[in-house]
Amino acid sequence: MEGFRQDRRNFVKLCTVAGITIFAAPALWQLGRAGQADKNAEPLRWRGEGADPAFRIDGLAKVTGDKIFGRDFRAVDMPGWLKQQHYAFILRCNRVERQFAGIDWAQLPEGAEPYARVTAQTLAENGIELPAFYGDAMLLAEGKSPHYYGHAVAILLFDDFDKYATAKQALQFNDAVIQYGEKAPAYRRDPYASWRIIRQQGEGGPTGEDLYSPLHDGLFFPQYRDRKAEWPTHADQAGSVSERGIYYADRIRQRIEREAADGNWHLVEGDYSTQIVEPMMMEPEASNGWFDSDGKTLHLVLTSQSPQDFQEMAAHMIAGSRFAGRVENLVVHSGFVGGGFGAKDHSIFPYYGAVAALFATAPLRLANNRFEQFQAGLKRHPFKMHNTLAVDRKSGKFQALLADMQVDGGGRQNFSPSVAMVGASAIQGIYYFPRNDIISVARQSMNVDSGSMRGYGTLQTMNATEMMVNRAAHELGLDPIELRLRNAFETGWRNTQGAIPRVGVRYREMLERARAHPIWQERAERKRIFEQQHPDRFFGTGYAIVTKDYGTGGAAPSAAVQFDREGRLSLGIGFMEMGTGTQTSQAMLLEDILGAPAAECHVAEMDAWQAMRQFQTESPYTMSQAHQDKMAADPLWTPVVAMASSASMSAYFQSHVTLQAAQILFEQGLLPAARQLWQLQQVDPQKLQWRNGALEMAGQPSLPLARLAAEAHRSGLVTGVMAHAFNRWDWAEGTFELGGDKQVLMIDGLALRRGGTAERPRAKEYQLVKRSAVHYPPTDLNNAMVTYYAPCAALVEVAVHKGTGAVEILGLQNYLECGRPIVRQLVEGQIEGGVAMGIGHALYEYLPALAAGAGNGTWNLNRYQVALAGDVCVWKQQHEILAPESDGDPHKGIAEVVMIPIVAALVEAIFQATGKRFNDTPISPETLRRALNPEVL
Amino acid sequence: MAGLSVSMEINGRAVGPMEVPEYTSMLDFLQEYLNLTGTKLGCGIGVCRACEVIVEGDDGELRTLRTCINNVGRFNGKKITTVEGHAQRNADGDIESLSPVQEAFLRHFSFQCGWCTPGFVNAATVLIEQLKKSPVAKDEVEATIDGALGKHICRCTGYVRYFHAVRDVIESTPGLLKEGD
Repeated sequence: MEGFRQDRRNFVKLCTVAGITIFAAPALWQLGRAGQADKNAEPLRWRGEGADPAFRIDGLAKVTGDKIFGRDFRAVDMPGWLKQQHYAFILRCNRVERQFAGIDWAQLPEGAEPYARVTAQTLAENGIELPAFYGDAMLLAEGKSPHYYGHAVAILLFDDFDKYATAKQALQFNDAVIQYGEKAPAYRRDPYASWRIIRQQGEGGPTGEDLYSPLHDGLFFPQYRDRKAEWPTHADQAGSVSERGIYYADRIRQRIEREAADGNWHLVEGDYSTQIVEPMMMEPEASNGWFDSDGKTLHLVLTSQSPQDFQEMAAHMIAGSRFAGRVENLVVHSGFVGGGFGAKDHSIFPYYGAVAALFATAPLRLANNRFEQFQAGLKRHPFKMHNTLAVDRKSGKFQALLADMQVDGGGRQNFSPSVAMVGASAIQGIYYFPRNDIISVARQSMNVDSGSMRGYGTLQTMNATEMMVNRAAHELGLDPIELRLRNAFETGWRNTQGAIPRVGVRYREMLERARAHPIWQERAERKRIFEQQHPDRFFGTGYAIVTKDYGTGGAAPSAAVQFDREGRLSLGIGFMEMGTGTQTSQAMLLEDILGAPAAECHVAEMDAWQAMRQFQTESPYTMSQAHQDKMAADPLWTPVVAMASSASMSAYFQSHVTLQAAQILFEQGLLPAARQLWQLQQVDPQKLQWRNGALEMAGQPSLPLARLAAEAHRSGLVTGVMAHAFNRWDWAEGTFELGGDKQVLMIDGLALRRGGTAERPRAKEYQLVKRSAVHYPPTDLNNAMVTYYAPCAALVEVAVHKGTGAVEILGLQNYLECGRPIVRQLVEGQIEGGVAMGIGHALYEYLPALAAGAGNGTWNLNRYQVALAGDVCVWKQQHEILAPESDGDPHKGIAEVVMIPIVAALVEAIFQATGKRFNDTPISPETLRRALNPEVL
Repeated sequence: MAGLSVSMEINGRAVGPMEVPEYTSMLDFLQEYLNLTGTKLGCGIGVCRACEVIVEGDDGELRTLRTCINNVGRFNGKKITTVEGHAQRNADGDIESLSPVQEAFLRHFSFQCGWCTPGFVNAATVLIEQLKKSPVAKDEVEATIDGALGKHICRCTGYVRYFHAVRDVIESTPGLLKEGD
C-alpha cells in the first residue's frame, strides 16, 4: 500500500475501464542506469557527429548488460514493491485424446510444495474468464478433454526460488503429474474465418473499373457445415454480392479449363505447404506481478509487444471477476522487448501472469523457460494451398490465379482470421492478374495456437507464387526474370482486391538490377565450373521477388514532440522498442525539421495521449459508414485510439505522425520565435535552413535551437505538439485552427503545450485543440484489405552436397526498396537478420504437428534448428537498398519482407542444382538426401 | 535440499561464501541470488550461448562457459566476468569507456534486441585475448571468428554485423595478426 501511495505521483492515470483505473508506469529502463544513457561522456553519446547516428540509443544499455528487458526485473528492482519475490510455473497437458482427470500432487518433492494451486475450479470460483479474443478454458477443468496440445491445467505458486526450482525440475517432464481418464473425441469447432477474393477485370483493363472485385462489390462469406466452409453456389450476374461473386468465379474457372484444353494457356497447378515455425525470439515470455491487496492495486511487469491492448482487456477480465472490488488500479510496466517477431503481440501469456499474481501473497514471477516457450508460445501459421497459375503461352502473360488455402490457426483463434486474409491478399506477389479466385480458410486444430508472426501469412503464400512462377518459366522455356518483367504490376493498376496501391511500385527496376548481376548473368558458366571443380556437389542459382504489405487498415499512431528552455528536444511515441531501432530512427526524424534529433525518445508512451481525450467506439474494420459519419462529428472521437507495435508499422505510420507533430511545432513554436528575434513580420520558410543546429536565413543572424527555444518559452509560444493520426489505407485529414489560421492536417487529434517544465511529454501540460472538421477514409476501404507495399528480391547461388543433401549458400544478393531509410545501419541489420530467418524457414526450421509437435513440451533448440552464421554466407552476402526516387518518398523500412524472397530463391536454386523441385518447406538436408539418394535408407 | 557453499570473484568483486541448493545452475545463481541479470537465458540447454560468461582458469587462461548448463559449483573459487563487468565505470556507475569488443558491436549496429549480446561480448573478448597470445594469419581471420562465434544464435541481425565488428577489432588491434600479415 505504502509503496503505491508514495509512487503514485509517478504513475499517470490513463483511463478507467470497467471501474478499474489503468495507470501507465514510467518505462522500466528508466529505473536503472540505462535511463541516463545520454549523460555519458561525449564519445559515448549516440548521435555522434556524422549524418547517421554513432549507435542506437539503447545500444549502451544493451552492450553493457543493464536491466532493460521486462524479464530482467525482480521485486527488489521495483520501487515501492514488497521485496520478497515469489515464483510460479504452469502445468500443461501434452496429450489431447483423453479427458484431463486431475493432478497427482504426490509427485511434488517434499519441501517443495506450492502455497497456492490455481486451477479451473479456482478461476470458476472467482469468476475469472479470458478476454473473448483468446477464447475460453484458460485452465482446463477436470473431466474435460484438452482443446489443444499444451492446454494449461494449473498454475503453481511458490514462496521462494528453491522450492520453485526443485518442484519444476521434478514436474516439468514428468508424465505422471497430469492424470488422464476416459477417451474423448477431438475438440472441434467451426473455422475461425473464411475469405474469398474474386476479381474479374473490366474492359478498361488494369486501371479501369472492375466487373467484379471486393473493393467494387464487397465481400461475402460461407456457411459452416461439419466444420467446413460451404460457399454459396447460386450464380447470378445481376444478383447479390455473393451471387455475382460466384458467377464470376465460375466463369473464371470455366475459362481456365477451356483455354487450357485449347492449348492457349499453360497451367501451373500444385499443392504447396509451409511448416509450423517457432518465432524463437531470444527473450522467452515472462511477467512479474504484485497484487497489493491493501492498496487494491495490481502491478505488472510484462514482456509484451502490445501492452495497450493488454491493459484494457485485463481490466475487463478483472472487472468481470470477483476481484472487481478488490482491484481498483492496474499498473502496467513495460520494458524493452528482447525480440518479438509478432509472437509477443496479443500473446495469451500476460493473462496467466496477471491471474497468477492475483492469488499470490507477494510479487510473483512467471517466466517461461525455452521448453515452455516452445510449448505455449505463438507460432507462425502453417498453410496448405492448392494453387493454379494460368499463363498465356504466346505472350507469357499471366491470365488467372486460383488458390484454395487452409490456414491452421491452432487451438486458439488469436489473429488467425486476419493472417488468413492477409495471406490471401498477398498471394498475387508483384504480379498483375486480370482474374483471380482466392479462397482462404483459417481453421481450428489441436496444434499450439499461431499468431501474428513475422510475415503474417504473406511469407507462406508469396513464396508459393514465386515457386509457381519459377516453374512456369522452366516449363515455358522462358528466362525467369523475363517472365516476371512481362507480368510485373505497375503503379496505378488494380490488385487482386480491386484496390490501387497507394505507393509507387518499382518492381521492374528491381528485376532489371538482378538480371544484370553477375550471379544471374554468369549462372550457367558458374555452374559448369563449380561442378567440374567439385564433383561431389551440385550448383544452382535461384531468384525470387516479393512485395510485402504493411499496415493494418486501422493504424493509429501518436507522437508528442517538445523542447525545453535549453532547446533539448524530447519525443514520446506509442511504439515499443522491439529491437528494430524505432527509438533511434524516430529520434533522428526530428533533425530535418527541428535542427536536432530528440535527446530523449520515450517509447511505449501510454500516459501522455490522454491530453487529446480521444475515444473510440466500434471496430474500425466493421463499423458502418453511417456510424463513422455520425461519430466523426464529435471532435474527440477517433476510429482507433492506440495500436499495437506490429505489422511493420513504425517506419511509415509512426514516422508520419512524428513528422506531423514536428512540423506543427516548427511552425507554431520555432518559426514565430525566429520572427520575433529577427524582428520580421514575415519569414518565407523556403528560405530557411538548419545548419549545425542553428536556423539560418540569408542576411540574418544565425539562431541556435536553444535560443529559439528560450524565446518560445519566454513569449508563450507553442513548445510542444502532440498529435494522433489514423490511417485506413489513407490518412484522415483534420481541420484545426492554429495561430489564427484554419489548417488541414493529416491528423485527427491535437494538443499543444505552451511553456511547461516536464522533461518528457506529460498530459497535464498539454491543452487540447479540437478539430473543426475531419475527413476519415471511407469504411469501404476496408475491402481493399491492403494497399501499402514494399518490395524485396533475393538472388542466391548454392552448392548441394550429393551425398548428405547439405545446402551451402555460396553467394547471396538481396534487393530492398524501403523508400527513404531513416537510419541506414538499422535497415541493413534488419535485412541481414531477415535473410537469416528466411534461410531458417527454407532449410531448417520445422515443428511437426500435434502430438510430436511443440505442444508436447519437449522442444528446444537441440532439435529445432535455426540458421547459424555458417548457414547464411556471413562474409559474402550483399544487399542493395534502392535509392529513393525523391526526397518525398515515404519511409517504409520493414524487416519482415526481407525474410520472404530468400525462401523461394533457395527452393529454385536447389531445383537448378539438383533437378528436384520441392513445393514444401523446409527442404532439410535429410529431405534432400533422400531425394537425391532414394536407394539409401 | 542439500546446500552448497560457494564463493567466487565476479566482475572484480568477492561474492560469498553463500549457501545455495546443490542443483543451482550458475545462471540461476547470477540472476536469482545476485540479481545480475545481464547474463541471459536463451535455451537453457547450452545451445544458443546467450548465457556465456568468462572464467579465468587456474592457468590464467580465459575461457567461456555456459551458465545455463553448468552448476554453480563449477565456478567455485574462480574469477568470473559477466557482460556487466567489461565497461569502465566511475564511482557513480556511469560508463567511462567500453571494451574494444563492446565498442565495435555498438558502432557496427551489431545487435537489435540485444538478448544475445552478452554471449557475443564474452566469446569475442575471449577470442581477442587468445589472439594476443597466439596471433592468427590474416587470411585465417574469418575462419577463426567462425570457429569462435559460429555456434552463437542471433535472431535479429543475422550475424553479419557481429562478425564484421570482430574482424575489425582483430585487424585494428596491434599484435593479433601474425607479423607480415
